Amino acid sequence: MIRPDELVQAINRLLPDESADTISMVLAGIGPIVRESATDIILPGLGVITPAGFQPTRALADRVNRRYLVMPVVTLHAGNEPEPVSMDEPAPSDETAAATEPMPEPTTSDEPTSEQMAESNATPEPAPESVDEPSAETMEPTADVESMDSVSAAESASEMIGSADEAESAAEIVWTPVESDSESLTEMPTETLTDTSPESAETLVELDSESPAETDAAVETPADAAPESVEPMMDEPAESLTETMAESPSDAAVSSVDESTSDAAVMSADESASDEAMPISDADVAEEPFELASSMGAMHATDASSSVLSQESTTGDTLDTGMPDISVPERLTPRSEPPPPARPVGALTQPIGHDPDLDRRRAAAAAAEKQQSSTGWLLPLLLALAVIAAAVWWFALGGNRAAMPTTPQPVAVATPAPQPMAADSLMMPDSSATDDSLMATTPIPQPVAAPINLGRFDLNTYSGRRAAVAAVAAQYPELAAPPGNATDGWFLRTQAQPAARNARDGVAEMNGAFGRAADVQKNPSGANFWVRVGRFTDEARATAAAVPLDLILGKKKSGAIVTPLDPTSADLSADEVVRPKPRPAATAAPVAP
Amino acid sequence: MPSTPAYLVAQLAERTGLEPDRIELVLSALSEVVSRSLSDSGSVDLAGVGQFSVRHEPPRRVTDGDTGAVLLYPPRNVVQLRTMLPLPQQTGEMRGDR
Repeated sequence: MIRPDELVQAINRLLPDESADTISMVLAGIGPIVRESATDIILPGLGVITPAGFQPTRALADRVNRRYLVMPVVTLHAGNEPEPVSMDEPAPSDETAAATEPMPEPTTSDEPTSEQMAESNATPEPAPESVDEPSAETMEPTADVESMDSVSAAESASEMIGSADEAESAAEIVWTPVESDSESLTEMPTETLTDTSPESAETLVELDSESPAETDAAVETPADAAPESVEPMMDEPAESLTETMAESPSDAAVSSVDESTSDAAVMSADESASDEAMPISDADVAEEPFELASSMGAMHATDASSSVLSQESTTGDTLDTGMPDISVPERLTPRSEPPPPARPVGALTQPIGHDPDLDRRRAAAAAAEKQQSSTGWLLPLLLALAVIAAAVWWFALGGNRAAMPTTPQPVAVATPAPQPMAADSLMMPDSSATDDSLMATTPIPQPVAAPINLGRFDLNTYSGRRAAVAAVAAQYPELAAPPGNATDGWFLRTQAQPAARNARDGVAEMNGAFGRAADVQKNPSGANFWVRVGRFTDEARATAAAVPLDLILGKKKSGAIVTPLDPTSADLSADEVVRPKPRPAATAAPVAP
Repeated sequence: MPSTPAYLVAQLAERTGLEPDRIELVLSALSEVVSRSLSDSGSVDLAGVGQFSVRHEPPRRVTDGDTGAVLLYPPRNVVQLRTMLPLPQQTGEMRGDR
């Protein structure tokens, strides 16, 4: 924690032209202005101090959340709507299950540990009156699932992440119950007024608009700031603090002990005056002095040991410290050997009688030994790599074939084998269609093992959709211009609500060079929004069917942006990763009868 | 009704007798120091105002009431300010009006 004097020094380092007194004067003037002002006070660059709380600026909120801004809102479950799962879609694997688990939470060094949380006397206080209406954010506590009223609420909540709304919702303030008795407060030393160490934090009544249950997720204990509280406790004993707070005219000076209970506590000064009074107990005070004493004992021990060492090194005598006798270390005595004589300038670099051949033989032997040692581990490594490569190759070819159903593979067929039925059969190609283009005149990209990150596209805009299809075309240039059929185009299909599915809904055709794109139907709910890119054919278009390429660009989020598809992110579920889906072997080249 | 940023500068200039430009520089440096400390999960004790700190909130699950969709929101940090200032507008009457 940066204390006021350290804060002045830090500012002074940034402003070397200003004196520390000037900086202290400015900083000291902020408090009285905030206290006496009848309006909200804007702290430039930091936020606004309002009666409801402190609202940080967006820049500040983004800065403290810079690690989390890139994290998308993950749809764990699509809800009542059935997932548009096609039959050729692989069954949910472990990867999917793992992706639906809560995201790993980055650890921060100052977060309370479980021990600290356990040590906190977090007796849940009765939920006080809430000043503000609970927002969508505040509806989310540690409970597994909570309902929201509407979809719009969910969307608005999602967009709060990383937006200006977050700054508003993320604001909290903790106000004291001290009545406005400026005289008594101004008489107090500045240290007393501004002391926010844990012992003084116990006297705080916190104002918050969040629900009580949410506080469980962010329990802050007095132990969090225990190391920082050692010094103020020494400077200002708890007794004096209690006396100071007792001087305030309000009895509400002493209230909750734990911050965790007060996160959701929006209580008036009167409320805090009665039931929440909890004086500082001796046990609470004695806990930190114990740590201090132990650390001081360690310091003494260090001093003692260092003094022993220094005494030993200086006198060289054996000390009677109850320890085993330590003889005079010889290493401290200077070496009596004379230094080697300095070689005169121009002297021979080799002594007389030196055999250069012997050196060469030694060097050759050392090189051979080194080479042998280097090649000794190289051979097993190469063997291991070869075994791994063979295993991968076997799994890629033979293994998959063994796992596939034993349906006969269409090798020489005049008509394409039936495509695997998607959940929306409207997108299926007509089996009666005799479209040559359905044959494998164009190589269909083989499924790749690794997902492909095609980028981030805003599918609500024309340019975004074009960019999405162009990205796919760039990935698979062989599909961009199917030979012999100039009208073949791309479609960028969004699977929206099931009720809205029909032949054309949700389909944006990208004819030719992707020059035209119909409006992609916007999903009102924002959830369960798939984007697929495929290629139309004439027959397929005539029959309201298409050859699905099943390149899933991504899943549209509740906002408007397809999430960045980072295949390496474990936070994304499997259906959010750009992954060309495996296709059956119906694309084999026809064999002439 | 929030005041303007110039309000605080003007008030400080009136109380300290310093030029507003110098006060703006100090406030700008204060913002930088506080932001830097909070981004490092630290806290800053601003004398006379309170203590700025950051509270970490874990990922949260929210269910859409209509569709039943379960969304997982990423974790976040919340900037909070603890203060002992007995603000005039922080009386119980004011709270009751809200």
